[in-house]
Parts: sequence; structure tokens; C-alpha cells
Amino acid sequence: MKSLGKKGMMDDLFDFFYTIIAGLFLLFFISLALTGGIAESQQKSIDQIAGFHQKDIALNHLAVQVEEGTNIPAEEVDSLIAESNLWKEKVITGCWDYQSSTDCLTDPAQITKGLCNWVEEEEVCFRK
Amino acid sequence: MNKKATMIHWIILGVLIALGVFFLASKWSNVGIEVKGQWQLDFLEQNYLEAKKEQLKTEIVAREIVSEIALKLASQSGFIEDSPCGKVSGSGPVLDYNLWNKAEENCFPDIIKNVAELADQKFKEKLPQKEYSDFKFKNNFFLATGKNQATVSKVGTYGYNSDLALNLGYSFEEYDLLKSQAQILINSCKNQKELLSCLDQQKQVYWHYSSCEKEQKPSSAERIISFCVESPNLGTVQAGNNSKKIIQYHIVLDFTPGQALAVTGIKVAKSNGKHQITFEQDTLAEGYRLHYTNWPEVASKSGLSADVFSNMPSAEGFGYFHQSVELSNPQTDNCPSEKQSNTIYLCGKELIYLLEDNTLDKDKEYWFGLASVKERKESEIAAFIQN
Repeated sequence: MKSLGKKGMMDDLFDFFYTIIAGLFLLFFISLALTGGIAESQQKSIDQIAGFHQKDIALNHLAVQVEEGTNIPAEEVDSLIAESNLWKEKVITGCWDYQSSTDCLTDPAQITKGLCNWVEEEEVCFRK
Repeated sequence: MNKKATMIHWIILGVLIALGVFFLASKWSNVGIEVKGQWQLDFLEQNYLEAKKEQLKTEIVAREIVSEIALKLASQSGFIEDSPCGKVSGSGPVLDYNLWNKAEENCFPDIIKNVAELADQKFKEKLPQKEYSDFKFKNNFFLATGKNQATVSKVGTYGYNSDLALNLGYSFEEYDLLKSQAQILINSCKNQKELLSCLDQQKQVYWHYSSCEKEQKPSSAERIISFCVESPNLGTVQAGNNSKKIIQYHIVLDFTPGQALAVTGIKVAKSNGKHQITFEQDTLAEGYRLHYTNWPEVASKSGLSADVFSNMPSAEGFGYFHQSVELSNPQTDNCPSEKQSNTIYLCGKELIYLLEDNTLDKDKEYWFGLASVKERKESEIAAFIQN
């Protein structure tokens, strides 16, 4: 058996430490890349779910209005859902979603283009 | 290089290969760092949401169709085609009114059939890509059976039931109520001479003469009466931009009496041995029959002349008689100041007949009763008037 010289042992030791440090760096970068990717994908999922949820709520709002006899043309359904907006954690699809005269007339969700009218006797917000 | 050093190099190579395999595998598999639930979200957005949108659009169109049907049927007295009882010309937006009855015949519309027929026609016209059948209504709901639908996208297919159950806030069953109310009016007022006062008493407040907005009372001579009836339950349907319209039914009923009507407003005056009998004209009568008698009991009697006089003692010893005279019903006004005996005159709305019968004693009392004649049948005598 051949015994290692002092230089050979030092080389081996250097190689060993080199490998450990390289591995640590690699693992660090990998974990960083994975963690960032997962967080991003999670946020994407949440955004997509929120988007779907908003559209679903907007659709339900329209269905309720149709049931109550509001005249909503069929060809406007897509645009009303697409233009629906979140305001104070509420989905606003049209004038009918505002519950007070101030909100009705100022249109904070900015979707009705000033077409809302408040009827004091019935306490409802109508589209002009 | 010694054996130990060679092993370390092999280990490094192995680690690098393992990393390479890990990265490749994570890229090809779904477990990697891609968005979680992407397929499910795509399915919800592209299939489920689209299906819900499509259902809502169909419901909107279906509501428009049913509103149109309700308004059309109400304006046409519930008929699609002409009523078997005929039509009369209308006024305003309504061109013709369909009759619900004529003489003894009733022609009430078959609403179940008419709604289904109109719905079938309009659904095919406005929703040609959909297949609906079995149209019916129950309470405030309009029901239709639809063929199963599916939304197809690159992520999959979503099938759904497209049956309709629309709460209209209005019920076609109101026609049943209106039919029964119309039947009550016909039965109660058809044989009444004072038709309008009978109708005023019998009709519901939401039955208006001619128009719902501007009621026009018909003349007393009219027997075919058009009504505008507001929905008894104030049922409304959509009519244009955000406006709702209360259903107004246009109904025409024929109150032409099935029998001769009793004569009213009889006055008898005696002068120079002649008896002047004055009474109200009945334009529907073909003629009149004047009955007169010296039987005093008749003063408290009314009804058909045959029944009234069947109880009159006929034995000669009693000395009672019963005479009758046929009178025509003049259609044109003919009212001279000097009137001839035994001739009938029309003076405005009154008929005047000067009876000269030599068998009558000018100092005795007689009782006079009048019956109108229609289709050779006599009406009842309302009362006998003493001279």
C-alpha cells in the first residue's frame, strides 16, 4: 500500500472542502430559486382564484337583478362581468350594487360612467 | 491520483448528475413550481363560468319572450287567432277585440295551449341554437324543458341541464279568474234591461269600460261591451328599458239577451174613453203585446201572461175578460201632436199607444200590462198598471 504524502493529503482535503462549499452554494441557490418560484406560483393561484371569484360573484349579482326584473340586455352580460370592480371588498357590477345615495351618485368603483340615479322613495340605485 | 481522490471525483460527478436529473424531472412533471390548480381554474373559467353566463343570457332572452307572450295574449283577449265567437273593431292600439261569448255560446281561450304554441314559435325564432319544449306555467313560474347543453374548451367539456323555471311575478292562471268573473257578469246581466247599472254593481273594480287609462262608459243601447281589465294581482312584465307594465287584458262580452226583456216605465192615462199607454222602448224587441183586463187580482201579479191569467176565474158569472193587442216596435222617430187611435208612435225614447176599445167602459177600472216579443216569445210582465 502506497502511503500519501503531505501534499497529496492537503490536495484531498482541499478537494473535500471545495466540494462541500460548492454543494452548499448549489443548494442555497436551488432552494432560493424553488422558494421564490413557489411563492410566485402561490400568488398567481390566489390571484386567479380571486379573479374567478369576482367574475362568479358578478354573474350572481346579474342573475339576481334579472330575477328581480331589471332589464339587462343579454349582449351586455359579458361586458358587465368584465368591467365589474372590487370596492370595499364588494363586487360592483352596476348601479344596483350601491346601497347609499352617496355611493350611487359618486360611483366610487368607477364602472357606471355616471349613469346611476338614486330613487329616494324606494332607496334604490337605478341605471338611468 | 490515488483511489480515495478518484472516489471523491466520482462523488462530485454523481451529485452533479443527480442535480441534473432533479432539474429535468421538475421541469417535466406537474409537481414543480408551476401554478397550483391551473387546470381546475381553467376549467372553472372556461367551462363552468361560460356555462353560467350562457344560462343567464338564455334566461334574459326567455324572460323577454314570455313578457311578449303575456302582453300579446292580454291584448288579444287570450287568443292567438280569431275567436270562434267573432271579433269587434277596437280603438287605440288594439285593432280588434275577440269576443269571449256570443248568444248562448262561450268561447273562452285555451291559455295553456296558446301559451305553449306562442312560446314554441318564439323560442325557435329568438333562440334557434337551443332546443326547448314542454312549455307550461304554474303559479308565477314559467317552465320549459331544455336539451342538455355543454361548454367545450381545450381543458375539457362541462355538461349542464338547461331547463328553465322563470319566476315572472305574473301568472297566466289569472285567465281562469277572469273567465269566472266574465261568466258571472254574463249570467247576472245578460237578461237585464238596465245593463250598465247591472255591470256597475257586478263587475270588479279592475274591470274598466273600453280603456284602462281613459274609461269610456258605453251607451245604454250597447249590448256588446269591451273591457280593459287590469291584472287582478297587479302582475307586471318587462316592457322596454327598465320599465315594468301592469298586464291589461282586453276582453269583449256579448250581453245580447237570450230572451225578451220585461217592459218598464209603463204609464197609463185615460181621456175621452181612450187609454194612452206610454212605455220605454226596447230596441232589441221585435214587438210588444199589450194585455188588459178587468180582473183586479192581476194588480199584485207579474210573470208570463199565460201563467198570470191561468188563475183568472173564467166562468161567465164573474164577468172577467183578458184582451191582448200586438204592437210593432217602430225604429224611426214618429211623434205627431195629433195621435191616431190604435197606432204606436216613437217619441224620443218612449213609445206611445192610444188604445181605443169600444168594449171598455169609460167609468170602469182596467189593468194594463206589457210584454216585449222576441223570436215569437213573450217576456214576463213586470207589473199591471191601473188606469
